[in-house]
Amino acid sequence: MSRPKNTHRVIKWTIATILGVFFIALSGVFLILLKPTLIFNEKNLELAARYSRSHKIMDIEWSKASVQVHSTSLFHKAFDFAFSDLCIKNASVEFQICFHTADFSLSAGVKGFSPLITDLGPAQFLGGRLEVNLLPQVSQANSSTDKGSPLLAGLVNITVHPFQILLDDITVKDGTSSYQGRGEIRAELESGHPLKVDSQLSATLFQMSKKLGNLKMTAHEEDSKFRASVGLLNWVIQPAQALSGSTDLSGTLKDNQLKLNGQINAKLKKPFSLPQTIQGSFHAEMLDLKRFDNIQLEISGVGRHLSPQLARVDVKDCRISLKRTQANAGTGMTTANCPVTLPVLDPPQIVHINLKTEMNSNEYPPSPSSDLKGWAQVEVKPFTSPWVDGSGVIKADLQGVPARFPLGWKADADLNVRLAVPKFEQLVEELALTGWAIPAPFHVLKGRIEAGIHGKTDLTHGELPVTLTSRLNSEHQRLYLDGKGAFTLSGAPLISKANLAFNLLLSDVKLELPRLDLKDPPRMVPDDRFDLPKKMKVGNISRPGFDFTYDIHVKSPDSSPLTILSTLANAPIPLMIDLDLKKDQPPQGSVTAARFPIKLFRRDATLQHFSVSLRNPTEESPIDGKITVTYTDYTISILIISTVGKPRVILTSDPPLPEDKLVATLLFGRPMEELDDDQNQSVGNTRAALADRAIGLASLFVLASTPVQSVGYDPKSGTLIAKVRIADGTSLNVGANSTRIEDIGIRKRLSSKWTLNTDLVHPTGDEATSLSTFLEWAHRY
Amino acid sequence: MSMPDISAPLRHYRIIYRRTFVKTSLLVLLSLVIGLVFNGPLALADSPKNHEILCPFFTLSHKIEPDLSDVEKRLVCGDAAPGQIENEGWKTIPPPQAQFNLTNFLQDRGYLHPTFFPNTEKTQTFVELGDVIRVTHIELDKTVVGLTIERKRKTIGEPLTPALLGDLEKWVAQRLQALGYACPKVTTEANPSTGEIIVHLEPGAAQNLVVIDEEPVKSLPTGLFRRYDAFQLGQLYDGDLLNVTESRITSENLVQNTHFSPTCRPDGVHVKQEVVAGPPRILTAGVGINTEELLIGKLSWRNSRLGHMASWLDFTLLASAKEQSLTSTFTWFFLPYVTRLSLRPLIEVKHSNEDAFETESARAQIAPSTTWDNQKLSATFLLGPTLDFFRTLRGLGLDTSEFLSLEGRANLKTHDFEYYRQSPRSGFDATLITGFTDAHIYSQASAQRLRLQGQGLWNLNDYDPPLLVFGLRGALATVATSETPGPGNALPPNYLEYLGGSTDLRGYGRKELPTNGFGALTSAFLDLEIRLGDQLPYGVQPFTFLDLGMIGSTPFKLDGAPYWAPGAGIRLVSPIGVFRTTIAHGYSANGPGHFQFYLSFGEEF
Repeated sequence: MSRPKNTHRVIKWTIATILGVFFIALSGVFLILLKPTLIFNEKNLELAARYSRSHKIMDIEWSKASVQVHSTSLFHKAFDFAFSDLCIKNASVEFQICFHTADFSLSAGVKGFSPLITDLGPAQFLGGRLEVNLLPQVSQANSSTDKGSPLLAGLVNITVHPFQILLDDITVKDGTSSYQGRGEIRAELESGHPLKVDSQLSATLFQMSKKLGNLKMTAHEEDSKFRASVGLLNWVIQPAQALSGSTDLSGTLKDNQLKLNGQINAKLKKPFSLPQTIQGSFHAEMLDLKRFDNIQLEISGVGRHLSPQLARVDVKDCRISLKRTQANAGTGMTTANCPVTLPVLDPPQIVHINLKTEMNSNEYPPSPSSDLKGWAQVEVKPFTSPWVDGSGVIKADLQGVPARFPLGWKADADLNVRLAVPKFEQLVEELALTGWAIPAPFHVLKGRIEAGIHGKTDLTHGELPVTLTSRLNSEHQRLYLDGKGAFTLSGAPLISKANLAFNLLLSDVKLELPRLDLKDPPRMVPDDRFDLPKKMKVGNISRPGFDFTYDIHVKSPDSSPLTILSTLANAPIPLMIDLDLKKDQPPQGSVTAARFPIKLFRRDATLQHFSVSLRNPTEESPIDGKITVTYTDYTISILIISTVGKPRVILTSDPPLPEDKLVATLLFGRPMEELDDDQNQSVGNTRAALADRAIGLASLFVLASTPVQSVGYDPKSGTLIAKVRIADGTSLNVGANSTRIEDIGIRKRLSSKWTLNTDLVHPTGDEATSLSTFLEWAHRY
Repeated sequence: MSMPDISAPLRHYRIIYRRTFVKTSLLVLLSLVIGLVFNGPLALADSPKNHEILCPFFTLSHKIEPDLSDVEKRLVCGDAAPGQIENEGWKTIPPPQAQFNLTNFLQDRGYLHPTFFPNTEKTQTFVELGDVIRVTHIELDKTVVGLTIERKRKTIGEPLTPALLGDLEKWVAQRLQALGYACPKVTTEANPSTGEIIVHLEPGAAQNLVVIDEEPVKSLPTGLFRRYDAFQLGQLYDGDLLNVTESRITSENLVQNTHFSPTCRPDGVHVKQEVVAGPPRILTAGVGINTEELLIGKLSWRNSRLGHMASWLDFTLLASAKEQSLTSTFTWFFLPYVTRLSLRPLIEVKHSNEDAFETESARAQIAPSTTWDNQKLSATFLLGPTLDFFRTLRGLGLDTSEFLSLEGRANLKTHDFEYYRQSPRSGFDATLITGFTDAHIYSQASAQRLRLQGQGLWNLNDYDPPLLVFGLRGALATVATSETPGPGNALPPNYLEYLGGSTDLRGYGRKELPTNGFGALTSAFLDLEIRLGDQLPYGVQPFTFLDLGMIGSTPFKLDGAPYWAPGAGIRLVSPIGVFRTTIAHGYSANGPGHFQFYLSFGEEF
């Protein structure tokens, strides 16, 4: 019987306790509602700040604070906070904002059983100083999932009373960049009315103590829309203060839809010589501002003179779309479709390029720290113009985090580009008055050139095979080339090296040389001894970030040597080319003249072979040549050996003859015994010049191809003068000016027979004698 | 006696004078106006009139020197004229290529920074040539003892061209070869903005000349050419000495041409001597001029390779207003091996027609002769009996006389004197001449003749080409004899001493002193000269000089007042030789002097 009693007693006391606690709590709540300062007072604010500091939530300090609470009803309270020297710091992001005075109010009530802020403001933050030091991990720290921006969403239901924030000093540091400025923000949002904002912000941006530009931002409400504009004036992008310009942004906010319009004007400064400008506009729509689930961007713009070859780039209606792919999830997809037109050359040939991409991200909206995966494509649509046509597609599968690029990225690209010059002559015409004019004798060629490149590459390596074919002709010339090769790309973590290995076959090449005279061969290339300033600069030039090398092997097929036509030769000159052209190196390989008949020393001769094995430096390239001149009783061989810079000419014969007889025979076609005095002298001079290597290849050719009257040689100055007969019966001095021969020694030769001989006037006399010069005519026999 | 009426001719001359004056004044005025407009302050430097139209595409801001050659023009303006084959590829030159070519051609003329201004249509280009860049500084990248680049003149301030760099390289290489570096490598680099030149030297090691590889000449023994060497085997290589040797061989006409080619080997420099012998006989006809002897004609015949040892026989006929002679010389290398020792028989007949005397003479001489060289000096020696026959046609002395004497001649000179003989600038040359005659040995009188003469030249700072050349020459001569010049003197005029003329005292006429015409027994002179080197245009080299002289009527004694002759002259280096003219005034207490003018061809101090 006692058990039910106990049970009832327990139940009774339990209920009584609960009721008691409830009553006490209710009394406490009631008491707080009646007198909120019991909780909301300066002491508790200090405790809350201490708790926040100890738990590293936020470091809040002030020198003086006061809290006043007004009860408008039992469940609706108004709070007035007033702080002096309020400072809020966040160590993790190095954020600090301080105000000299901070007065703000808010009203809160209870709706249902939830507390709710109903009014915000008025507020007045004066004498503010904001300092933000952006750390690299900031982007990662912000990688938390977006919750649909509840703050903004919540703001819509709060009555925001006018508030004013005066920031006298704003400093934002980001690595080497710093931004300094001041700003004022006034805002008001009344219930049932859109947000009213009227703010101004002006700032000066610095990077490494160099001024980057001025930022001016204004925002205000107008026609029930939120309108804001941001102007970035006179900004400069480093390095070298190369890019400057201004940017304007304006936007409207209405019905949860944010529409932004922007304009950018930029201009490249020195050292760029062209007036490069970029002008653009964009239109962005955020269709659901509460969730940012759908952002549409539309960009148009034009860039002028971005490179010497690119006078203009037009981007029109480039559409970029950012969409959340799953409701309430942080994934998204970015797609872009950007038509670009390139007017190439003058008159403009429009090349249409389409840039497409589709990227999925694990964040929405995507940020630099988002993980992206998708593809991108650049398509050059087939185009045809009078002088060039082509097409191309580059498609790449991409995956990675933009902020970490290129670490961890995958980018597999397929490339397929084709270019053709259908009518070379029109290309010649187009380029004729430009710095890219096709030089003679190629500029008279007509025909077609095709080139292609296709292959695969990723971020660290790739191989892109290339092809080149030309079929060019003129009346006397031909340039048939067939080339195959590949670009090899390499580098880590990003491709930083490219090497072009290319085999160029001179399938059928026949070219003309200019009409040259024997007298004073012209200087065809600048004298490299005048390069001193350039050479000095070379040592100071730092290597560019991208290293491009090439190894081009140029070869003529054995069955079809390159043919040179020259007025100096009686027949086409066949040349076998086998050259390696490498970056920053002179050509290496060999140039070999194949056997061909020539007319030398007034006889039929044969160039058996002549080869130059090109080395670095070119002057030290070995040469090896042999010319045979056949006579009735013997064959004379002219061997040309040693190096390009110091060629040596050796004369041999079969059966063997002394060198003087060989020279006599070659120069004058007669044996020594039949030569006159002058011719004998010429033989000696020629031999002396041969021994001193004063006869270069050009001099030898002159001596061999024209009837020689006499050869003069001054060993002291190394000057060779050949007097040759020319067609009209007159003679011509080939070589140095005779006045340059130094007047030293006893005898000075004036011409074939005449000499100046300085001698004693009376050599046998006893009296004082003096030297005298006799103008002498001499004849040996 | 009445005075002739000269008023009519005077009037005539006055009219001519007035007309000439008016015409000349007008011409001068016109010239001034033209000069002011085109060249003076009124001329516009950039006036289109100064522009030179190179071809329709290119206009130069002014004329260039030298003008573009035909080939160069073709490579700038195109080659419209057909060649042996149709030159289709070069009929026109694309403008950028033409600009490239023109830039190269202008480089040859010192225009290193031309600026091209195409017109709007790019159909014509104006070429602002800018200034000719001139050499401002030359620097050697290595120090080589004995090589001083400051010696090289005519480079600083000259247009910086590839040809100038080539000449500079050759000069430096040549100087290195003279210092023992037989196989130097010399390259240059130039700064086209500042005009600075750096000369890069790879001289190698200074080496001795160890081997001469002489090309054999038919019928001549190996080593024959060594008797002309100005160098010594085993000594430091000197390229200049090889040149002197070449000059000696060819001037003797031993062979037609010879040349030395050095090769550097570890053990030293090996030199190959190449020879073109040519025929041995040579006929020469020559002409020289001076105001003393007027026209000097010379005709000679020589066989330069007689016998196995290449002895030579020479006949020379020399004729001028003062002297006519026929000389036959046989230089006989009589020993059966190669040696510098020779025997020189000589026969000469001569007619001398001086102001003071006129003689006919014949001479027969046979004298051993030899030569000697070391790295710096060369010497020749000759000593032998000489028989002279004289006939005095005019002047004092016996009508006929004969003298048997022992004649000797020793000459010492530096190699650089020989090297620069054509254009004297440095070195010295000294000669001692002796003649001993005794009245008891087939002679009319006893007379011991001694003569020491020489000259030295100093090139200021050893510049090349020279800036200033200082010269000093002189002679001491005496005849030790009991004879006294004048009536009754048994010595022929040729044995007596005279002064005056371009060879000693240029303020006096040829052999003018002593003025009594008797001749002297002792004479001495000292000439000092300063010549401006290669500084003025057209090869003009002015010089000034002071000649001093004394004579004596007794042996070994100079008596009477000295003679001195200040003067000036011009040396003109022309393509056909050196002309030299002087004007001087002789002064002496012995009597009044006079102006003396000389013009000579080839004669040097």
